[in-house]
Amino acid sequence: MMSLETILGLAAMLFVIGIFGVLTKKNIIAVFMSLELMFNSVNLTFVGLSYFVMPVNLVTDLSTAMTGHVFAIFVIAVAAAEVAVGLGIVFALYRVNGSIELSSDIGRAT
Amino acid sequence: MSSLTIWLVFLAPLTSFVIISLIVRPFFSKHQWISPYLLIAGLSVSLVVSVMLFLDTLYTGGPGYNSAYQWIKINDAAIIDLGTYIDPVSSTILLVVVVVSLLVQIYSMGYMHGDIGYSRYFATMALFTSSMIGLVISSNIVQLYAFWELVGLSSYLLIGFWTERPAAAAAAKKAFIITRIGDVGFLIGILFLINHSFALPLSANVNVLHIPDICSLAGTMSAMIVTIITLGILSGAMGKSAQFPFHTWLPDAMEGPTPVSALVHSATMVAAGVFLLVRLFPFISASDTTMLIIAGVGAFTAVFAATMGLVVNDIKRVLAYSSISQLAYMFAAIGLGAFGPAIFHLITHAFFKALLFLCSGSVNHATHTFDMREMGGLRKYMPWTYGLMLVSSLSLIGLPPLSGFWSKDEIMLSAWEKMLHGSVFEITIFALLAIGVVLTAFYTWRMISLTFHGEYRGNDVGDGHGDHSIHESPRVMIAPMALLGVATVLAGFLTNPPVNVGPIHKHWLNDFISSSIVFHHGHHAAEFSVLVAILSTVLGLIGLGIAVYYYKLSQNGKKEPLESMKGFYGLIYNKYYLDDLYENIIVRNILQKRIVNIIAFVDKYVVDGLGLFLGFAVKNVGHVLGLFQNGNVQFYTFVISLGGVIGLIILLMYTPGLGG
Amino acid sequence: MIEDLIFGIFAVAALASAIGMIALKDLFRSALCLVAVFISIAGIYVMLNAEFLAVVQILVYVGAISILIIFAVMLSDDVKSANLSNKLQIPAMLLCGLILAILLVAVVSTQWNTISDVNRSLVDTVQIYSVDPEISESTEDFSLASLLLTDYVLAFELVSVLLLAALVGALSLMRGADER
Repeated sequence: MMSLETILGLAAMLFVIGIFGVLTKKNIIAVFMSLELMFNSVNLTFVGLSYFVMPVNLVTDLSTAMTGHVFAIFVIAVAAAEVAVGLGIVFALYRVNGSIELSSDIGRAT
Repeated sequence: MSSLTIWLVFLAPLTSFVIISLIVRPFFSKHQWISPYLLIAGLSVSLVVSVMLFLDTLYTGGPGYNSAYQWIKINDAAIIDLGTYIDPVSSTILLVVVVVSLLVQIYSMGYMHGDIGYSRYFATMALFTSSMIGLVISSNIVQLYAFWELVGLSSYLLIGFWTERPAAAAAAKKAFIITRIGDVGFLIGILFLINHSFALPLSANVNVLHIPDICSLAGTMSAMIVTIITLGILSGAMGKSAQFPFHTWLPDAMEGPTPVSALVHSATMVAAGVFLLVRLFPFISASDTTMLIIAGVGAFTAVFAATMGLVVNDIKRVLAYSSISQLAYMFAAIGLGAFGPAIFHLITHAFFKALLFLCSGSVNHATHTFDMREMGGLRKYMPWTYGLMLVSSLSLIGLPPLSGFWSKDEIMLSAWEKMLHGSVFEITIFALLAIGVVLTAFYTWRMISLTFHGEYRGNDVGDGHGDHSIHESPRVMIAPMALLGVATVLAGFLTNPPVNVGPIHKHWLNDFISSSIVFHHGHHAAEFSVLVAILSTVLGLIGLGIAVYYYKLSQNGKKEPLESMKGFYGLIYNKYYLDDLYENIIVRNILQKRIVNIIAFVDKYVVDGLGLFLGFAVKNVGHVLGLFQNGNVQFYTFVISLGGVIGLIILLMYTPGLGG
Repeated sequence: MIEDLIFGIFAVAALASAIGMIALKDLFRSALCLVAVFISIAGIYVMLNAEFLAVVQILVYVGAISILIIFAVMLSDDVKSANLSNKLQIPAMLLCGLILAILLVAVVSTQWNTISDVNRSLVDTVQIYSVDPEISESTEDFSLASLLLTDYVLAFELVSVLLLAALVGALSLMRGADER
């Protein structure tokens, strides 16, 4: 059951849910949350591939088996920075607008 | 004589035009007095050069053809070049044009004095004169056509010179449009000529647009094509020379200043049609049909126009109908093959008709009207004008020994000789021309009588001086009139005497004209016939006598003698209803109601519809595209994602093992 | 077998929490769902020989980012019904379905070069002991720490600069309007 395909399929579903949230949420915080979900699904992909897929140069260089993990660490670092700045923007927006909703004509319905 | 010198005759007045219109008018409007002097200076240069050219042509054959610049080469046999062609015909006409123009300009200084458009008047006159000179010296028919239209343009500007008068504007428009209708035929003729160039063999070594070459071209074409081209050229000539049915613009053109009428609408421009036909005479005469039409139109118009002149009350319009009638004599002469007499009559007519117009201008200067019913008895006040008017009128009637007699006699003689061994057609032509002489005499004397004899009928007392306000014109006007008077007396006998007079050979002008190389068979002037001379003189005297008889008794013009013939009078008084036919029936009913409606429909639904559709499309496409720019970040993200998906699909399709 | 079961639980938990995060109207609860997703993924990391990442996931996402997000959630006027959607739901759903289909097709139809049984233990050893190379029997240095400071040192330093910039940027944004 735990195979590369299921891991990648799970990551794809999480990613798609993230996209859906980014596209449809009115609240900017919800959009942020969806973004974080997308980051996580990508990280899951890295780790899953690292676990299942044969590194090309494994025999000569054992550390190639760790490439996926290193990438995941960088993604987490970037995500942390993004959240810090993004939430800073949210606060600034809140101070200016008094609201954290994405202003939009088509956002009033639901 | 270098080619530059020849061009100088054209460039000198053109330079005056440029200086007056671009420098004097905009920058020195307080010094308008300088404009006529600039033009007169330019024309003096032209006069010197044209005299030199004339003498050169007379004694050594002249410079002939000079090409200055090859403009457009359509093929080997159709080249549009800008050049000069000085031969006996053009050098003679050139001299007449320059002399009359110079005298008229001097006269205009007095006549136009104080007019608000003083500089504009002389600028347009300069443009006209240089265009007319360019027309005369052109070597290429397309070049001639360009000047032909430029002359038409300046005529338009001069007729409508007093722009504040609606009648002047309408007359200018009318003249422009009617001559343009004729010019379309001219253009068609030129296009046929160009088309013919493609059919010529390479070895032909001719230029179908080169005027001397055109004259020898008839042999290479089918008779049908020759007729089409000559009829096209004829229609241009008829439009310009105001021959029936294109004559209606000329009487209306009298709305322009009188010196303009003298120069443009009697002496020079309207004679351009005659000039063109003579210029291309060998080609024109190759078509018998065209020659018959020219003769027929000429003879008919001679009488037709003269009848309308019988009842007009406007002195200038009498002269206008007279011009049409006299030009018709020239046409008739050309149609009978007598181009020499046609040119001769053109020259004498230029002098005496210009003088007549200048006299009428002088009368107008004194009485401020052109209506002969408000004149009368001016003989006392204006002796110089009266004398000159009398001389020129008698010349117009054709009494010996004045110039008009000699030239008209030549034409009558040609017609007479044709008639002697001709058919009904030639007899009719001669008869019409003879009737024309009687009518001419009648309306001429009627004009003299109404204007100068009897008692003054005008009520021009508004300035409180009564009759004393009427005075002779200033010397600057009288002097050129007097010079023209001398020419009117002498130009006939001395330029083309029927017998040898000392050093002057008989018929020297006729022989000179005929000596142009384009006329392979020169026209040999008929021997002077006493019989014809007496006949035409008697005919003139008959007309004169009738006029004297009627107008002596009813000096104050209370009742026109012709008014007793009610139907005929109404017909000619309304100009045979031709203006109504043209304007009401053809233009309003046919053109405006039918054709214009179709055009309006196309304009409204096709042209405007296209515009509206474009606007509609742009607006709506913009509206649709605007939906994409709604400021909603998530919508943008959606579109970006969609693009990414499309990219992904394409990528997958070309990935080995998947789609591709 | 037990591994498959545990993975299944984690996977279902992650998906369910993600859907909950999207679907719940209460923004605070959806934030909590997000935390659940993070933890589930951390669990999967553990099963994929990535214990270190799992710990980092818990520390950074659950410990820091979630707290920040919950802070921000408090800005909403009415937290209980703050998680609304706009009109784009149906097109977005179609688009997401399309993307999912493409991704699944790509995943299924790709010929993956999976690790053979011969190399399995080698990779396991490397990944498990990468955090503490002292324990491993190999003399080769393949620890995560030394990788970050040798092969990936440039990216590592760039990330530190990025974090510094984010720190400064966040600070300046936070105090911005009052003092400018």
